[in-house]
Amino acid sequence: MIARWGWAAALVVALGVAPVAADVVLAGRVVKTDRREVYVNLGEGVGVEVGGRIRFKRPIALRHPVTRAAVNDWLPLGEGTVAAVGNQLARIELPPELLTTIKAGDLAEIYVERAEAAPPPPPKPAPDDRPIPTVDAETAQVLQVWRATTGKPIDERIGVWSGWLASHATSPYAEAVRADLEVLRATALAMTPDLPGRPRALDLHVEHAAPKRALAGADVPLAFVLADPAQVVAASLHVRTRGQPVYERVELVREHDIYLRGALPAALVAAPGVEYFVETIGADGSAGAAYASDAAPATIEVDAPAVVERFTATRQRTRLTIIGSYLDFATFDDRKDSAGNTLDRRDRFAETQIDVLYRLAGVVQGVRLGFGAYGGRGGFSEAVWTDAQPAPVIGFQYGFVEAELRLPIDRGPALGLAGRFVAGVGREGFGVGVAGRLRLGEPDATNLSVGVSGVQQVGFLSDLLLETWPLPKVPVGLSVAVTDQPGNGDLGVRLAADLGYRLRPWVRPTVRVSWQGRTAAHAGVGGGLGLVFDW
Amino acid sequence: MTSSSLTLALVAVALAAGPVAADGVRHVPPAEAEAGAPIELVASIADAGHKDVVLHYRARGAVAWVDVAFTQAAGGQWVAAIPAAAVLPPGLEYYLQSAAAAADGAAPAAIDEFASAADPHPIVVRTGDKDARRLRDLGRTGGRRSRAHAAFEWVDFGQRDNAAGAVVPDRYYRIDLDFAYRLLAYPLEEIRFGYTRLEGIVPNSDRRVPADCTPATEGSAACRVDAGFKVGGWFELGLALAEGVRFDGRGMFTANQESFALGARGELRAGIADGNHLAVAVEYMADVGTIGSFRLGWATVPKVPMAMTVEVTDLPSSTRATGVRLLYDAFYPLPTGLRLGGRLGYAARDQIIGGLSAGVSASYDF
Repeated sequence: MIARWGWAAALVVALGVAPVAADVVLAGRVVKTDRREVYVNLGEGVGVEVGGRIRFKRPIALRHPVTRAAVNDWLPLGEGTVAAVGNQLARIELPPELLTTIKAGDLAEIYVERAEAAPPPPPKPAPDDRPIPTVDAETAQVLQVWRATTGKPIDERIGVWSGWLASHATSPYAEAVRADLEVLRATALAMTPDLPGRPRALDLHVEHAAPKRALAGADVPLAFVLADPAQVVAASLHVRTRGQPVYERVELVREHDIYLRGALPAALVAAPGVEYFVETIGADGSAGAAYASDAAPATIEVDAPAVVERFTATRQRTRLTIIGSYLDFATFDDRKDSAGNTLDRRDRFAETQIDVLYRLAGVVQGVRLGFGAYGGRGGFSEAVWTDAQPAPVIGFQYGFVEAELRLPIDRGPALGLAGRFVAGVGREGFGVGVAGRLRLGEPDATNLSVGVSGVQQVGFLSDLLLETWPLPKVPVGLSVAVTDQPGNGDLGVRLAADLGYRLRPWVRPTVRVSWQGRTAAHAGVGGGLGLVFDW
Repeated sequence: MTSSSLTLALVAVALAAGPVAADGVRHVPPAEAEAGAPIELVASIADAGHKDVVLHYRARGAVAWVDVAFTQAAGGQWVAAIPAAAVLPPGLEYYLQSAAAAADGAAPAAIDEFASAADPHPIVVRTGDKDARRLRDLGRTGGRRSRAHAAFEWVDFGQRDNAAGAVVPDRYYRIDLDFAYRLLAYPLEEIRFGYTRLEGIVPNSDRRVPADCTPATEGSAACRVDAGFKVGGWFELGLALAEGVRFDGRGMFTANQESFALGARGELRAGIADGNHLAVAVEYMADVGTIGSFRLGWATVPKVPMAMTVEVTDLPSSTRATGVRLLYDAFYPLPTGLRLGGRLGYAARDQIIGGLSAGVSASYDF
């Protein structure tokens, strides 16, 4: 609907430049109210149709805070739907929250599309060459607040002007603002729905100076002053991060009878902003919005945290991993020559690695940097090694850097993508490699990932890995991999199982067992140990 | 939230009534203020003729309270002002008390009217974005803007030999002395001047000692090369692209074994240089070689920030084969501004022969 009104406004602007049709926003009045409906003096004669949306406003007479000239302003109330249309009147259905709000005499506006051509635009007024008057800083500030509150809901106006008055009590405009606040409060009280047993004069409102901006991730202390302390027996602060559907309730502490103090919790103070309102219960048990409301909450802007905040030292951000593993592809290869001699078909490699992971918030979930060494011999299932043809020796010492991204997907399990760059030296000198892993699920919970890596002088490895926590302290990893390591040899498959145990919250030893083979005859077992430290 | 659930929630949190009526002192507390502008606190005091109302304020984190008595202003309001000089980030905290003279002439008893010394009300003091950022940056450095730094490093890629038995080392050392000043004139965050000395000995071949070298000739220029330079001066600008993202660009002038030469270095870093960060850097020095590196630093171990670096380099001579260095750094910062560091690492140009790297560093912030 907002888009439609915005479109209408844009159209009106466009018409001012090049009129092609007479689409208009019609204004009428509420002429009668009923239990669930109201009637407005706009009918099909002016183009109103069933199903159209109609907007209601409450006229309010104020005085300009500087000039004290009378100003006719309005307060937004809400919207209804045209249910039936006569020639002169339209019947409007209202949402439940507006049933007791709309009164006869309220403004009604509806956007109407018309096919006929628009009337010619009025002639442009002659340019005003008079110099723009200058004002002092205090006047300029009052005018700024005035402009900012024009057209806003009444609770928001009361809150803003109360806040201004709290810090400008000796301003030359203070008296004028106080008078206007009285008008606003009286209007707000008159607009509050009648509740059984509630005296109309009960004032459950609070005065409050609201902060404009806040730092993400920090509590925002607030204080409220009860307008009529004797009438209020309970109060509650409701808070949500802007964009979230549900408010969280925060207890307000009453102090010195008239004050309410509390804080917006740090966890909810996040970009783009935090919203809140205060509800009070009167001595007669009636409840009411004391400051802003759930439909029109007060807002504090919260800046997105700077990059540096993601690097602020906190607990549980760092992980040190040390692993060592050994794989033998020929443990069970007992093929012999014709004379019955055991043949040398050695095919094995070992790898050790140490790395540090630093976790970040946001799209970049973590960065990792580590060192490793890799060594092995063989790599071929059918080769027989002799003194004349010894098994090739493969070695590689390397460092790597890795970044893991958390893809911004709203639905389904978390999706992570990690990329690694490897640089090292082998027997043939300098070499590089790359690796990537796509992960479905949280890294430290049940997840399934597929990875592929290729390193010069060493070979490639691709694997499918399932990690899960069948017991709270026991992580398990199951993987199947295809590789030509060590040294770009024959393809082989590796089945591995990793089992860990969380001894303490910060340390977790792991053990690995594996079976690998390049053919049915050329296969073997392997194992490994690891230590993971979290702090 | 529906109105019924809201009402239930409200009923569940019925307020415990505080101390009864604060004798008519009514004050709407401000939530924030602009740095360098006085704060005028306003109160309505019903029985002003019978008691004095006093504002107690202090900077956040300070111990002592400053007292200001409320005075009557135009319009019947009572006002107490916090002077502009005291309105500094990150903020202030305050409470109000009243004291009524006792009938028997005893000393008046102070009564809390709003907040209390144990639970004062905070006012956030805001500054411009750049000023706030400058304060945060200075907070990270303890308010110190200058740093003098010295580092020494010994790098050994191992000894190379040939079939004839000639042995030539492959190593170098490097000394860096520099001075940095944090301008904090964003985006220009820091300027740095420095001196570097880098000298080494390498075989006169990419990874081997030339085959025709013998133990008798291994010291000759045909077998070994003196690499590096004795004097290198440089100038570096630290540009903060955003808070926590910085590019350091360096221009370098050296007098190496052959002639005057140029060099350059660039480092892009996310995070805090002395704490948690990730950095990628490239350094080039004509005839001497090129370094490319990744570094991850973490300050999550109390009092001992650390870093790991993977470096790809052909130093100390661009004629040498490219190798890798795997480095671990640990630092020990002291409250005085002194920061001591140690480095251990491994360097190799191939998997067969490698050597250790070791270094020490010290910096002093003031």
